[in-house]
Amino acid sequence: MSGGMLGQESVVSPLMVLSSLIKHRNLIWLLTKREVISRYRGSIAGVMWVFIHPLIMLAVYTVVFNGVFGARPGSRVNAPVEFGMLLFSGLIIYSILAESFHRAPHLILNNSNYVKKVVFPLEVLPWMSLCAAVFHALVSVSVLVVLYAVIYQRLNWTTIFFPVLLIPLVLGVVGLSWILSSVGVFVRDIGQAMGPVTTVLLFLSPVFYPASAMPERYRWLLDLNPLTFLVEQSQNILILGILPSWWGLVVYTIVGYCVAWIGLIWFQRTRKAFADVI
Amino acid sequence: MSSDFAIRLRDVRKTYRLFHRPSDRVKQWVMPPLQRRFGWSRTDYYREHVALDGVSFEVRKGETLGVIGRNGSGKSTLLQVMSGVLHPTSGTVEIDGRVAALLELGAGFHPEFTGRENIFLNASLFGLSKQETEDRVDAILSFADIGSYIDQAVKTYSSGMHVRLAFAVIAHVQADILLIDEALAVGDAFFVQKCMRFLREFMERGTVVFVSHDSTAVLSLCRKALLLDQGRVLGLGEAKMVCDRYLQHLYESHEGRESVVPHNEPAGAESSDKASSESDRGVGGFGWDNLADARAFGDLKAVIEKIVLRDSQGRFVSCVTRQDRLSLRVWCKTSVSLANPLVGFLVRDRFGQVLFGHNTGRTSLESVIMLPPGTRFVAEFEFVMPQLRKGSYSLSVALAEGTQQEHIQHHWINDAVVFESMPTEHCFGFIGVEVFQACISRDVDREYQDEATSNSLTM
Repeated sequence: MSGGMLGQESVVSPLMVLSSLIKHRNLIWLLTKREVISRYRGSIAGVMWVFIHPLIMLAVYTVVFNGVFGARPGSRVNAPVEFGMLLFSGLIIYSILAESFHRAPHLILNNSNYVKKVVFPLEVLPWMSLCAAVFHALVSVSVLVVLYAVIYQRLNWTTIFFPVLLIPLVLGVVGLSWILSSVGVFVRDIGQAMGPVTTVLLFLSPVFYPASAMPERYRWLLDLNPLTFLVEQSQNILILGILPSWWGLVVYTIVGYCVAWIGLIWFQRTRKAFADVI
Repeated sequence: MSSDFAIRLRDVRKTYRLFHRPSDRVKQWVMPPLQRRFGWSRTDYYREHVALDGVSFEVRKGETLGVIGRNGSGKSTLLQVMSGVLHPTSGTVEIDGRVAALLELGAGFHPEFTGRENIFLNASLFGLSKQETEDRVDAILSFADIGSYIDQAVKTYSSGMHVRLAFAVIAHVQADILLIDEALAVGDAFFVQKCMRFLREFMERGTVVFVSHDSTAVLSLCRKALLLDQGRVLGLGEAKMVCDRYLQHLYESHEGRESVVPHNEPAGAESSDKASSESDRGVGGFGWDNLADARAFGDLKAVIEKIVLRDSQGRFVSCVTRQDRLSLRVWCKTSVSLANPLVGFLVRDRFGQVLFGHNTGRTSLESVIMLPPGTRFVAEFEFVMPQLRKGSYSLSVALAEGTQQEHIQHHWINDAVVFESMPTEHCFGFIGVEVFQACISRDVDREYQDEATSNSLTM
């Protein structure tokens, strides 16, 4: 709330993504905590749902994709339970993106108090929804790891690289969330479009089928989807015990950072008009 | 480097684009560049609404500025621009110091969070660390005084509790500049008193901008005021002067005419009017001389042409500060033959409650007066205006024919003259009375006795 904030020159330093995260870490922590707690408030099982939800999903995938559809051709695993876990490990990645994208267009609109009544660092709102999504993903991963350990009596040591996998994903998703939440203020149709968009992204990624099952002619569709690489890496390190592709991760992290940077610049440029529209 | 000024606005303009349809907004993004590129004729898809139009002023450090204006004059927009919530379309806003703003009701609270969580959240927005907030939380809680509600979600709060908490927070964030927007209106009397005490204390060291449409509130807090109308600055200067200008402006626009001074004023009155405009009270002449007024009714066979209310110095009355002898003159004209004309007035408070009134009935009933058609006549009243509680009052005037009990209303004008009462001393009830003695003296014997009885009671 210093004098400088009113002048708010559009800083375009590439470090602004990190500095916004560090500067507002307390606020982001507070908001995320509330976001997670408020979702389960009033329910009887309360925060237990955090664990119940992934457990049920895992059970459903295992039963449906083995019992009903049978083993998939070209699958990289054979054991039925392991196949359900493979699905689940890919879905964890997808759900971070989907949860954030569904929230993003409504973030500013739903927090109009922060737009109209106080000078609020609005750029923390996408961080908030993303951090909540990441929290749920981490819970899912731990449920997965524990079940895996119980069933197979061993651990994939490569699991420790999961957070590394999250870095490019988080950067890319927060960047796109900044853009979506900003555009969502002016064009409310964006909120409606998110459902179909995320569904398309889900089915054009190797979550329910291995990439090899996709006919060669349409393989490029999978390659275009940034989720494909991350989903495969997630399956590799969580279930198959294969080390991630380091070079791929470096490239994805650089691209993700650029997306975040552009997203934040866009957001900060357009935020001045939020109060006029809401 | 620190300047003398806490707030400095230069030619601030704020406009809004109003779109008929959501798709027009998209067109407005897409079309103008295309139109420029291909040389098509330019069309805009919006209507422009000007909220602030070239506002410039400065507030020195430690000064208190009252911003006054009618609803929709741009007061709140101005405050939002100063607080940084809104960005001006053009012009510059310079702020030197930490700003705490109380905009409309309840600041930036998250409805799902509890009051306590909101304290921490809000305080962190003002740059307070967790520890600093921790240290202040007790003071904030006792200031807000909302009891166990503090651990309930803010969405369950009443508007009063909302403001209590919001004010309590901004009172404890060590701001240099406070921006306050009519927020005190919803608090109960005790809380408003508490806020006023805080504000007066704060004014000793900090800068305050106080927005209100209530001139008495501005007068009681600020020495300097700014009058805003339709986004433009109409007056800036000494609070009393600006508030008078505001009242005058209020009635002018209310009556829909440029001048409040009746144009067919008798020659003698004009000089006194000049005198009043030169006096520090400013122009404050309120009469009524418009026949086609919606607030009037009656069969109009006889009409009131003009009403003038003056104080003992012959000035038009806009503001009553003390008990004063006033004169009310009512000019009338009849188009029919009038038997026993009856002219009267009522003074009402802003709730429409009749405080007092009088008419010519009683004094002229003895002999039958007959006025032929076309006669003009004047009714004169001289009375002592009691000291009235702070607020606005109105005087209604009527012309009838007949007796007290039975008469025909020819012309009745509601709220013909409106004036403010700003008593110099505090008024406890509706009116203040002349007090000749108010003191405490020591009565030794009685005191002893009272003590003895109270002791026996408690034992």
